[in-house]
Amino acid sequence: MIGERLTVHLFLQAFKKHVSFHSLFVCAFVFVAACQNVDSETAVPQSRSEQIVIELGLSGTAFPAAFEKPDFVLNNVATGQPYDFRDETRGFVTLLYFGYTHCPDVCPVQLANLAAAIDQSPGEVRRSVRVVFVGVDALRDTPDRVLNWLEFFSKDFIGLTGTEEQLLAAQEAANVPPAFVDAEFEGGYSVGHAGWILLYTQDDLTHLRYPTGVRQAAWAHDLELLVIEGWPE
Amino acid sequence: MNVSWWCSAQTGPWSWEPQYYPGIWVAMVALLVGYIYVVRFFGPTKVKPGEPICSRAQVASFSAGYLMLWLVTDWPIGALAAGYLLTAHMLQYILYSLVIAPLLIHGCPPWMRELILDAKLLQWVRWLVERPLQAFILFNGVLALTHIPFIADTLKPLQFGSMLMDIVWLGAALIFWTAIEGAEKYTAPSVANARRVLYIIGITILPTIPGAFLVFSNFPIYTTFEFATRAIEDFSAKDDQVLAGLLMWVAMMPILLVRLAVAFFSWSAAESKRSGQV
Repeated sequence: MIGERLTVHLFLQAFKKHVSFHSLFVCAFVFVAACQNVDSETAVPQSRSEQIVIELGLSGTAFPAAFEKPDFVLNNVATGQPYDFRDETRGFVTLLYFGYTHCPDVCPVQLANLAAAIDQSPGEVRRSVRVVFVGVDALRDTPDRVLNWLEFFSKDFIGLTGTEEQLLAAQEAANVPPAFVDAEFEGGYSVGHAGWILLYTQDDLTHLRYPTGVRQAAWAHDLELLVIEGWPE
Repeated sequence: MNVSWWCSAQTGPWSWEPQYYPGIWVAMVALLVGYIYVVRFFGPTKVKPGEPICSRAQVASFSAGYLMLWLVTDWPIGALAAGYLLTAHMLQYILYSLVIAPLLIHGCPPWMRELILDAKLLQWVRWLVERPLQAFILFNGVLALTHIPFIADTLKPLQFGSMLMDIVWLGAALIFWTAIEGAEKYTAPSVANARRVLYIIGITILPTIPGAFLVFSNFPIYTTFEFATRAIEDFSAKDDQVLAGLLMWVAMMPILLVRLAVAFFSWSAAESKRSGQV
Protein backbone atom coordinates (compact mmCIF):
# COMPACT_ATOMS: atom_id res chain seq x y z
CA MET A 1 0.00 0.00 0.00
CA ILE A 2 2.75 2.39 1.04
CA GLY A 3 4.81 1.20 -1.92
CA GLU A 4 1.96 1.99 -4.30
CA ARG A 5 1.51 5.46 -2.81
CA LEU A 6 5.24 6.07 -3.06
CA THR A 7 5.27 4.99 -6.68
CA VAL A 8 2.38 7.33 -7.52
CA HIS A 9 4.04 10.16 -5.60
CA LEU A 10 7.38 9.63 -7.38
CA PHE A 11 5.61 9.46 -10.74
CA LEU A 12 3.79 12.73 -10.06
CA GLN A 13 7.02 14.38 -8.92
CA ALA A 14 8.78 13.23 -12.07
CA PHE A 15 5.82 14.37 -14.17
CA LYS A 16 5.86 17.83 -12.59
CA LYS A 17 9.63 18.06 -12.96
CA HIS A 18 9.95 16.96 -16.56
CA VAL A 19 6.59 17.64 -18.19
CA SER A 20 5.97 21.36 -18.22
CA PHE A 21 2.80 23.06 -19.35
CA HIS A 22 4.62 24.17 -22.48
CA SER A 23 5.60 20.68 -23.46
CA LEU A 24 1.98 19.55 -23.03
CA PHE A 25 0.90 22.42 -25.25
CA VAL A 26 3.46 21.41 -27.89
CA CYS A 27 2.25 17.80 -27.72
CA ALA A 28 -1.35 18.95 -28.16
CA PHE A 29 -0.34 21.11 -31.11
CA VAL A 30 1.56 18.25 -32.77
CA PHE A 31 -1.43 15.95 -32.20
CA VAL A 32 -3.86 18.44 -33.77
CA ALA A 33 -1.46 19.06 -36.65
CA ALA A 34 -1.12 15.32 -37.20
CA CYS A 35 -4.89 14.94 -37.27
CA GLN A 36 -5.18 17.75 -39.78
CA ASN A 37 -2.50 16.12 -41.86
CA VAL A 38 -4.55 12.93 -41.97
CA ASP A 39 -7.60 14.96 -43.09
CA SER A 40 -5.72 16.75 -45.81
CA GLU A 41 -4.32 13.44 -47.05
CA THR A 42 -7.80 11.99 -47.37
CA ALA A 43 -8.89 15.13 -49.25
CA VAL A 44 -6.54 14.42 -52.16
CA PRO A 45 -8.61 14.78 -55.37
CA GLN A 46 -9.43 11.52 -57.09
CA SER A 47 -10.12 12.95 -60.54
CA ARG A 48 -9.35 16.00 -62.66
CA SER A 49 -12.88 17.32 -61.99
CA GLU A 50 -12.37 17.08 -58.25
CA GLN A 51 -9.05 18.86 -58.59
CA ILE A 52 -10.77 21.69 -60.50
CA VAL A 53 -13.50 21.92 -57.88
CA ILE A 54 -10.86 22.31 -55.15
CA GLU A 55 -8.72 24.75 -57.15
CA LEU A 56 -11.62 27.01 -58.08
CA GLY A 57 -13.32 26.75 -54.69
CA LEU A 58 -16.58 25.52 -56.21
CA SER A 59 -19.38 24.30 -53.97
CA GLY A 60 -20.63 21.55 -56.28
CA THR A 61 -19.64 17.89 -56.08
CA ALA A 62 -17.59 16.74 -59.06
CA PHE A 63 -18.52 13.68 -61.09
CA PRO A 64 -15.51 11.42 -61.70
CA ALA A 65 -16.25 11.71 -65.41
CA ALA A 66 -18.40 14.29 -67.19
CA PHE A 67 -21.82 13.33 -68.64
CA GLU A 68 -23.25 14.66 -71.85
CA LYS A 69 -26.25 16.92 -71.66
CA PRO A 70 -29.30 14.60 -71.78
CA ASP A 71 -31.48 14.43 -74.82
CA PHE A 72 -35.15 14.64 -73.85
CA VAL A 73 -38.24 16.55 -74.89
CA LEU A 74 -40.89 17.68 -72.40
CA ASN A 75 -43.71 20.18 -72.38
CA ASN A 76 -42.77 23.83 -71.71
CA VAL A 77 -45.38 25.09 -69.23
CA ALA A 78 -45.06 28.72 -70.37
CA THR A 79 -45.61 28.13 -74.09
CA GLY A 80 -47.37 24.78 -74.13
CA GLN A 81 -44.87 23.72 -76.81
CA PRO A 82 -42.41 20.81 -76.74
CA TYR A 83 -39.09 21.78 -75.24
CA ASP A 84 -35.97 20.04 -76.52
CA PHE A 85 -33.69 20.34 -73.53
CA ARG A 86 -30.41 19.75 -75.33
CA ASP A 87 -31.14 22.10 -78.23
CA GLU A 88 -32.78 24.88 -76.24
CA THR A 89 -30.02 25.11 -73.65
CA ARG A 90 -27.04 24.61 -75.95
CA GLY A 91 -24.13 26.89 -75.02
CA PHE A 92 -25.72 28.10 -71.79
CA VAL A 93 -24.65 27.30 -68.27
CA THR A 94 -27.70 25.20 -67.46
CA LEU A 95 -29.07 24.13 -64.12
CA LEU A 96 -31.43 21.17 -64.23
CA TYR A 97 -33.58 20.32 -61.24
CA PHE A 98 -36.08 17.52 -60.85
CA GLY A 99 -38.53 18.45 -58.11
CA TYR A 100 -42.22 18.83 -57.39
CA THR A 101 -44.36 21.83 -56.67
CA HIS A 102 -45.96 20.46 -53.49
CA CYS A 103 -42.52 19.95 -51.94
CA PRO A 104 -42.74 21.52 -48.47
CA ASP A 105 -39.07 22.35 -47.88
CA VAL A 106 -36.16 21.32 -50.13
CA CYS A 107 -37.45 22.44 -53.57
CA PRO A 108 -38.72 25.90 -52.61
CA VAL A 109 -35.62 26.69 -50.57
CA GLN A 110 -33.26 25.50 -53.33
CA LEU A 111 -35.07 27.49 -56.02
CA ALA A 112 -35.46 30.60 -53.86
CA ASN A 113 -31.75 30.64 -53.06
CA LEU A 114 -30.80 30.01 -56.66
CA ALA A 115 -33.11 32.78 -57.89
CA ALA A 116 -31.72 35.21 -55.32
CA ALA A 117 -28.13 34.36 -56.28
CA ILE A 118 -28.80 34.85 -60.01
CA ASP A 119 -30.61 38.08 -59.25
CA GLN A 120 -27.50 39.40 -57.50
CA SER A 121 -25.18 38.33 -60.34
CA PRO A 122 -23.87 40.61 -63.12
CA GLY A 123 -25.97 40.94 -66.30
CA GLU A 124 -23.60 38.74 -68.31
CA VAL A 125 -24.13 35.91 -65.86
CA ARG A 126 -27.91 36.35 -65.77
CA ARG A 127 -28.06 36.23 -69.59
CA SER A 128 -25.86 33.13 -69.80
CA VAL A 129 -27.63 30.95 -67.25
CA ARG A 130 -30.74 28.83 -67.82
CA VAL A 131 -32.59 27.22 -64.94
CA VAL A 132 -34.83 24.32 -65.95
CA PHE A 133 -37.24 22.82 -63.45
CA VAL A 134 -38.92 19.52 -64.22
CA GLY A 135 -42.06 18.79 -62.19
CA VAL A 136 -41.81 15.04 -61.50
CA ASP A 137 -45.18 14.68 -59.78
CA ALA A 138 -47.10 13.83 -62.94
CA LEU A 139 -50.45 13.85 -61.15
CA ARG A 140 -50.26 17.25 -59.47
CA ASP A 141 -47.60 19.19 -61.38
CA THR A 142 -49.95 20.50 -64.05
CA PRO A 143 -48.57 23.13 -66.47
CA ASP A 144 -50.54 25.92 -64.76
CA ARG A 145 -49.44 24.82 -61.33
CA VAL A 146 -45.76 24.64 -62.34
CA LEU A 147 -45.95 27.99 -64.13
CA ASN A 148 -47.52 29.83 -61.17
CA TRP A 149 -45.22 28.16 -58.69
CA LEU A 150 -42.04 29.00 -60.62
CA GLU A 151 -43.09 32.62 -61.12
CA PHE A 152 -43.01 32.90 -57.37
CA PHE A 153 -39.23 32.45 -57.56
CA SER A 154 -38.30 33.87 -60.95
CA LYS A 155 -40.03 34.63 -64.20
CA ASP A 156 -36.90 33.43 -66.05
CA PHE A 157 -37.03 29.86 -64.75
CA ILE A 158 -38.20 27.36 -67.33
CA GLY A 159 -40.78 24.81 -66.20
CA LEU A 160 -41.31 21.46 -67.88
CA THR A 161 -43.88 18.72 -67.39
CA GLY A 162 -44.80 15.51 -69.16
CA THR A 163 -46.42 12.16 -68.83
CA GLU A 164 -45.09 9.68 -66.31
CA GLU A 165 -43.21 7.84 -69.05
CA GLN A 166 -41.69 11.03 -70.44
CA LEU A 167 -40.60 12.14 -66.97
CA LEU A 168 -39.04 8.76 -66.27
CA ALA A 169 -37.17 8.85 -69.55
CA ALA A 170 -35.90 12.37 -68.84
CA GLN A 171 -34.59 11.35 -65.42
CA GLU A 172 -32.88 8.28 -66.83
CA ALA A 173 -31.30 10.39 -69.55
CA ALA A 174 -30.01 12.81 -66.93
CA ASN A 175 -28.61 9.97 -64.79
CA VAL A 176 -30.67 10.79 -61.72
CA PRO A 177 -32.63 8.24 -59.70
CA PRO A 178 -36.27 8.27 -60.78
CA ALA A 179 -38.74 10.02 -58.50
CA PHE A 180 -41.28 7.88 -56.64
CA VAL A 181 -44.52 8.59 -54.85
CA ASP A 182 -44.67 7.84 -51.13
CA ALA A 183 -48.41 7.35 -50.63
CA GLU A 184 -48.05 6.53 -46.93
CA PHE A 185 -46.50 9.87 -46.04
CA GLU A 186 -48.48 11.58 -43.28
CA GLY A 187 -50.89 14.25 -44.44
CA GLY A 188 -51.12 13.17 -48.07
CA TYR A 189 -48.52 11.82 -50.41
CA SER A 190 -44.96 12.89 -50.78
CA VAL A 191 -42.57 12.49 -53.70
CA GLY A 192 -39.06 11.17 -53.25
CA HIS A 193 -36.77 12.79 -55.82
CA ALA A 194 -33.16 13.65 -56.52
CA GLY A 195 -32.31 16.50 -54.17
CA TRP A 196 -29.44 17.89 -56.18
CA ILE A 197 -29.20 20.30 -59.08
CA LEU A 198 -27.20 19.26 -62.13
CA LEU A 199 -25.01 21.94 -63.63
CA TYR A 200 -24.08 21.82 -67.32
CA THR A 201 -21.28 24.10 -68.38
CA GLN A 202 -21.07 25.85 -71.76
CA ASP A 203 -19.38 22.77 -73.24
CA ASP A 204 -22.75 21.01 -72.74
CA LEU A 205 -21.32 18.56 -70.27
CA THR A 206 -22.12 18.09 -66.62
CA HIS A 207 -19.12 18.04 -64.36
CA LEU A 208 -20.91 18.97 -61.17
CA ARG A 209 -23.99 18.46 -59.11
CA TYR A 210 -25.11 20.75 -56.30
CA PRO A 211 -26.59 19.20 -53.18
CA THR A 212 -29.11 20.94 -50.94
CA GLY A 213 -27.57 23.44 -48.57
CA VAL A 214 -25.54 25.45 -51.08
CA ARG A 215 -25.61 29.07 -49.97
CA GLN A 216 -26.63 31.99 -52.17
CA ALA A 217 -23.14 33.50 -52.01
CA ALA A 218 -21.66 30.17 -53.14
CA TRP A 219 -24.10 29.93 -56.06
CA ALA A 220 -23.25 33.47 -57.14
CA HIS A 221 -19.52 32.75 -56.92
CA ASP A 222 -19.72 29.51 -58.90
CA LEU A 223 -22.06 30.78 -61.61
CA GLU A 224 -20.00 33.91 -62.25
CA LEU A 225 -16.83 31.86 -62.44
CA LEU A 226 -18.26 29.20 -64.72
CA VAL A 227 -19.94 31.72 -67.04
CA ILE A 228 -16.94 34.02 -67.37
CA GLU A 229 -14.05 31.57 -67.13
CA GLY A 230 -15.83 28.44 -68.33
CA TRP A 231 -14.93 24.92 -67.26
CA PRO A 232 -11.12 24.55 -67.41
CA GLU A 233 -9.86 22.08 -69.99
CA MET B 1 -49.63 17.74 -31.06
CA ASN B 2 -46.10 19.09 -31.47
CA VAL B 3 -44.25 19.41 -28.16
CA SER B 4 -40.63 20.48 -27.62
CA TRP B 5 -38.82 21.82 -24.58
CA TRP B 6 -37.83 25.16 -26.13
CA CYS B 7 -38.23 26.95 -29.46
CA SER B 8 -35.38 26.08 -31.83
CA ALA B 9 -34.70 26.30 -35.56
CA GLN B 10 -36.54 23.56 -37.48
CA THR B 11 -35.95 22.20 -40.95
CA GLY B 12 -39.62 21.62 -41.73
CA PRO B 13 -42.00 24.14 -43.22
CA TRP B 14 -43.49 26.83 -41.01
CA SER B 15 -46.97 26.02 -39.75
CA TRP B 16 -49.52 28.25 -38.02
CA GLU B 17 -50.67 25.21 -36.07
CA PRO B 18 -49.78 25.94 -32.41
CA GLN B 19 -46.63 24.32 -31.01
CA TYR B 20 -46.15 23.64 -27.30
CA TYR B 21 -42.99 24.48 -25.38
CA PRO B 22 -43.21 23.22 -21.75
CA GLY B 23 -39.72 24.54 -20.96
CA ILE B 24 -40.94 28.08 -21.55
CA TRP B 25 -44.02 27.48 -19.39
CA VAL B 26 -41.87 26.09 -16.56
CA ALA B 27 -39.55 29.13 -16.73
CA MET B 28 -42.45 31.58 -16.78
CA VAL B 29 -44.28 29.91 -13.90
CA ALA B 30 -41.02 29.80 -11.89
CA LEU B 31 -40.46 33.52 -12.49
CA LEU B 32 -43.98 34.41 -11.36
CA VAL B 33 -43.97 32.09 -8.34
CA GLY B 34 -40.52 33.41 -7.37
CA TYR B 35 -41.71 37.02 -7.53
CA ILE B 36 -44.87 36.37 -5.49
CA TYR B 37 -42.93 34.27 -2.96
CA VAL B 38 -40.32 36.98 -2.38
CA VAL B 39 -42.98 39.71 -2.09
CA ARG B 40 -45.18 37.69 0.31
CA PHE B 41 -42.53 36.13 2.52
CA PHE B 42 -39.60 38.55 2.49
CA GLY B 43 -41.40 41.82 1.76
CA PRO B 44 -42.89 42.39 5.24
CA THR B 45 -39.47 42.01 6.87
CA LYS B 46 -37.72 44.34 4.43
CA VAL B 47 -39.86 47.48 4.57
CA LYS B 48 -40.68 49.79 7.45
CA PRO B 49 -44.17 49.46 8.95
CA GLY B 50 -46.72 51.40 6.93
CA GLU B 51 -44.59 51.45 3.77
CA PRO B 52 -45.87 49.51 0.78
CA ILE B 53 -43.97 46.32 0.03
CA CYS B 54 -44.42 46.89 -3.65
CA SER B 55 -45.93 49.99 -5.25
CA ARG B 56 -48.68 49.72 -7.83
CA ALA B 57 -46.31 51.08 -10.46
CA GLN B 58 -43.80 48.35 -9.63
CA VAL B 59 -46.43 45.62 -9.87
CA ALA B 60 -47.67 47.09 -13.17
CA SER B 61 -44.12 47.30 -14.51
CA PHE B 62 -43.33 43.70 -13.55
CA SER B 63 -46.65 42.46 -14.98
CA ALA B 64 -46.05 44.28 -18.29
CA GLY B 65 -42.49 42.96 -18.53
CA TYR B 66 -43.61 39.45 -17.60
CA LEU B 67 -46.42 39.30 -20.15
CA MET B 68 -44.23 40.72 -22.88
CA LEU B 69 -41.50 38.21 -22.04
CA TRP B 70 -43.93 35.33 -22.38
CA LEU B 71 -45.37 36.75 -25.58
CA VAL B 72 -42.02 37.05 -27.38
CA THR B 73 -40.51 33.80 -26.06
CA ASP B 74 -43.37 31.38 -26.70
CA TRP B 75 -45.11 30.37 -29.94
CA PRO B 76 -45.49 31.97 -32.45
CA ILE B 77 -42.94 34.80 -32.06
CA GLY B 78 -40.39 32.61 -30.25
CA ALA B 79 -40.66 29.86 -32.86
CA LEU B 80 -40.44 32.31 -35.76
CA ALA B 81 -37.46 34.03 -34.13
CA ALA B 82 -35.66 30.76 -33.50
CA GLY B 83 -35.45 29.68 -37.10
CA TYR B 84 -37.81 31.21 -39.63
CA LEU B 85 -37.62 35.00 -39.62
CA LEU B 86 -34.61 37.11 -38.77
CA THR B 87 -37.00 40.05 -38.34
CA ALA B 88 -38.82 38.18 -35.58
CA HIS B 89 -35.48 37.38 -33.99
CA MET B 90 -34.49 41.05 -34.07
CA LEU B 91 -37.83 42.11 -32.61
CA GLN B 92 -37.38 39.55 -29.86
CA TYR B 93 -33.84 40.70 -29.09
CA ILE B 94 -34.80 44.39 -29.03
CA LEU B 95 -37.73 43.74 -26.73
CA TYR B 96 -35.68 41.51 -24.41
CA SER B 97 -32.84 43.95 -24.05
CA LEU B 98 -34.47 47.36 -24.26
CA VAL B 99 -38.04 46.95 -23.01
CA ILE B 100 -38.56 43.76 -21.01
CA ALA B 101 -35.39 43.95 -18.91
CA PRO B 102 -35.99 47.57 -17.76
CA LEU B 103 -39.66 46.76 -17.05
CA LEU B 104 -38.73 43.75 -14.92
CA ILE B 105 -36.12 45.77 -13.03
CA HIS B 106 -38.55 48.62 -12.36
CA GLY B 107 -40.98 45.96 -11.21
CA CYS B 108 -38.61 44.86 -8.45
CA PRO B 109 -38.49 47.18 -5.41
CA PRO B 110 -34.94 48.15 -4.32
CA TRP B 111 -35.09 45.79 -1.30
CA MET B 112 -35.87 42.90 -3.65
CA ARG B 113 -32.91 43.69 -5.90
CA GLU B 114 -30.64 43.79 -2.86
CA LEU B 115 -32.07 40.52 -1.58
CA ILE B 116 -31.41 38.83 -4.92
CA LEU B 117 -27.91 40.27 -5.20
CA ASP B 118 -27.11 39.10 -1.66
CA ALA B 119 -27.38 35.48 -2.78
CA LYS B 120 -23.99 33.76 -2.60
CA LEU B 121 -24.27 32.37 -6.10
CA LEU B 122 -24.92 35.82 -7.54
CA GLN B 123 -21.89 37.64 -6.17
CA TRP B 124 -20.42 37.82 -9.68
CA VAL B 125 -23.63 39.58 -10.75
CA ARG B 126 -23.23 42.06 -7.88
CA TRP B 127 -19.65 42.68 -9.00
CA LEU B 128 -20.92 43.58 -12.49
CA VAL B 129 -23.89 45.58 -11.25
CA GLU B 130 -21.56 47.73 -9.16
CA ARG B 131 -19.42 48.43 -12.24
CA PRO B 132 -21.50 49.97 -15.06
CA LEU B 133 -18.58 49.96 -17.51
CA GLN B 134 -18.12 46.20 -17.16
CA ALA B 135 -21.89 45.72 -17.41
CA PHE B 136 -21.88 47.84 -20.57
CA ILE B 137 -19.07 45.72 -22.03
CA LEU B 138 -20.95 42.54 -21.10
CA PHE B 139 -24.17 43.78 -22.73
CA ASN B 140 -22.44 44.69 -25.99
CA GLY B 141 -20.18 41.65 -25.85
CA VAL B 142 -23.22 39.40 -25.64
CA LEU B 143 -24.85 41.28 -28.53
CA ALA B 144 -21.72 40.87 -30.67
CA LEU B 145 -20.90 37.30 -29.70
CA THR B 146 -24.38 35.82 -30.03
CA HIS B 147 -24.80 37.42 -33.44
CA ILE B 148 -21.64 35.95 -34.94
CA PRO B 149 -23.09 33.75 -37.72
CA PHE B 150 -21.15 30.63 -36.69
CA ILE B 151 -22.36 30.87 -33.10
CA ALA B 152 -25.95 31.78 -33.93
CA ASP B 153 -26.22 29.09 -36.62
CA THR B 154 -24.76 26.48 -34.27
CA LEU B 155 -26.93 27.29 -31.26
CA LYS B 156 -30.27 28.06 -32.88
CA PRO B 157 -31.08 24.53 -34.14
CA LEU B 158 -30.51 23.14 -30.63
CA GLN B 159 -33.25 23.51 -28.03
CA PHE B 160 -30.64 23.94 -25.30
CA GLY B 161 -28.67 26.38 -27.46
CA SER B 162 -31.72 28.44 -28.23
CA MET B 163 -32.71 28.50 -24.56
CA LEU B 164 -29.17 29.49 -23.61
CA MET B 165 -29.27 32.41 -26.04
CA ASP B 166 -32.59 33.64 -24.64
CA ILE B 167 -31.27 33.43 -21.07
CA VAL B 168 -27.98 35.12 -21.92
CA TRP B 169 -29.69 38.01 -23.74
CA LEU B 170 -32.14 38.64 -20.95
CA GLY B 171 -29.50 38.12 -18.26
CA ALA B 172 -27.01 40.55 -19.83
CA ALA B 173 -29.77 43.13 -20.29
CA LEU B 174 -30.93 42.73 -16.66
CA ILE B 175 -27.37 43.22 -15.41
CA PHE B 176 -26.80 46.23 -17.66
CA TRP B 177 -30.02 48.03 -16.72
CA THR B 178 -29.60 47.23 -13.02
CA ALA B 179 -26.12 48.75 -13.18
CA ILE B 180 -27.43 51.80 -15.04
CA GLU B 181 -30.49 52.33 -12.82
CA GLY B 182 -28.69 51.80 -9.52
CA ALA B 183 -25.51 53.70 -10.39
CA GLU B 184 -26.17 56.35 -7.69
CA LYS B 185 -25.59 53.73 -5.03
CA TYR B 186 -21.95 53.38 -5.93
CA THR B 187 -20.94 56.81 -7.25
CA ALA B 188 -21.87 60.45 -6.79
CA PRO B 189 -25.30 61.23 -8.34
CA SER B 190 -23.92 63.70 -10.89
CA VAL B 191 -21.29 61.19 -12.06
CA ALA B 192 -23.89 58.41 -12.14
CA ASN B 193 -26.24 60.51 -14.26
CA ALA B 194 -23.50 61.51 -16.69
CA ARG B 195 -22.41 57.90 -17.03
CA ARG B 196 -26.00 56.78 -17.56
CA VAL B 197 -26.39 59.19 -20.48
CA LEU B 198 -23.06 58.10 -21.96
CA TYR B 199 -23.84 54.39 -21.74
CA ILE B 200 -27.27 54.86 -23.32
CA ILE B 201 -25.63 56.82 -26.16
CA GLY B 202 -23.18 53.94 -26.42
CA ILE B 203 -25.83 51.27 -26.80
CA THR B 204 -27.64 53.51 -29.30
CA ILE B 205 -24.62 53.75 -31.58
CA LEU B 206 -23.08 50.28 -31.36
CA PRO B 207 -26.02 48.25 -32.78
CA THR B 208 -25.93 50.34 -35.96
CA ILE B 209 -22.78 48.39 -36.96
CA PRO B 210 -24.39 44.91 -37.13
CA GLY B 211 -27.52 46.64 -38.47
CA ALA B 212 -25.47 47.98 -41.40
CA PHE B 213 -24.08 44.51 -42.11
CA LEU B 214 -27.60 43.15 -42.31
CA VAL B 215 -28.94 45.93 -44.53
CA PHE B 216 -26.04 46.21 -46.98
CA SER B 217 -24.95 42.59 -47.29
CA ASN B 218 -25.61 41.15 -50.76
CA PHE B 219 -26.50 37.74 -49.39
CA PRO B 220 -28.09 36.31 -46.27
CA ILE B 221 -25.63 36.18 -43.39
CA TYR B 222 -27.23 33.43 -41.31
CA THR B 223 -27.67 29.95 -42.80
CA THR B 224 -30.50 29.29 -40.34
CA PHE B 225 -32.67 31.92 -41.97
CA GLU B 226 -31.31 31.40 -45.49
CA PHE B 227 -32.45 27.78 -45.54
CA ALA B 228 -35.66 28.28 -43.61
CA THR B 229 -38.85 27.72 -45.52
CA ARG B 230 -40.60 31.04 -45.97
CA ALA B 231 -43.07 31.80 -43.20
CA ILE B 232 -44.48 34.68 -45.23
CA GLU B 233 -44.96 34.22 -48.96
CA ASP B 234 -43.01 36.52 -51.24
CA PHE B 235 -40.76 37.61 -48.39
CA SER B 236 -37.30 36.33 -49.29
CA ALA B 237 -34.43 35.65 -46.90
CA LYS B 238 -32.73 38.81 -48.19
CA ASP B 239 -35.85 40.98 -47.65
CA ASP B 240 -36.11 39.52 -44.18
CA GLN B 241 -32.50 40.38 -43.43
CA VAL B 242 -32.85 43.96 -44.70
CA LEU B 243 -35.99 44.47 -42.60
CA ALA B 244 -34.22 43.03 -39.54
CA GLY B 245 -31.33 45.46 -40.07
CA LEU B 246 -33.71 48.40 -40.47
CA LEU B 247 -35.56 47.29 -37.36
CA MET B 248 -32.27 47.41 -35.51
CA TRP B 249 -31.91 51.05 -36.54
CA VAL B 250 -35.49 52.27 -36.68
CA ALA B 251 -37.11 50.46 -33.76
CA MET B 252 -34.11 50.60 -31.47
CA MET B 253 -33.61 54.33 -31.88
CA PRO B 254 -36.92 55.65 -30.50
CA ILE B 255 -36.78 53.27 -27.52
CA LEU B 256 -33.26 54.37 -26.70
CA LEU B 257 -33.99 58.04 -27.34
CA VAL B 258 -36.87 57.91 -24.85
CA ARG B 259 -34.54 56.27 -22.31
CA LEU B 260 -31.91 58.87 -23.10
CA ALA B 261 -34.37 61.74 -22.67
CA VAL B 262 -35.51 60.35 -19.31
CA ALA B 263 -31.90 59.93 -18.15
CA PHE B 264 -30.93 63.37 -19.38
CA PHE B 265 -33.85 65.18 -17.74
CA SER B 266 -33.43 63.36 -14.45
CA TRP B 267 -29.74 64.34 -14.55
CA SER B 268 -30.69 67.93 -15.29
CA ALA B 269 -33.31 67.93 -12.48
CA ALA B 270 -30.81 66.46 -10.03
CA GLU B 271 -28.22 69.08 -10.94
CA SER B 272 -30.76 71.92 -10.57
CA LYS B 273 -31.81 70.58 -7.18
CA ARG B 274 -28.17 70.30 -6.09
CA SER B 275 -27.29 73.86 -7.21
CA GLY B 276 -30.46 75.12 -5.42
CA GLN B 277 -29.29 73.45 -2.24
CA VAL B 278 -25.84 75.03 -2.58
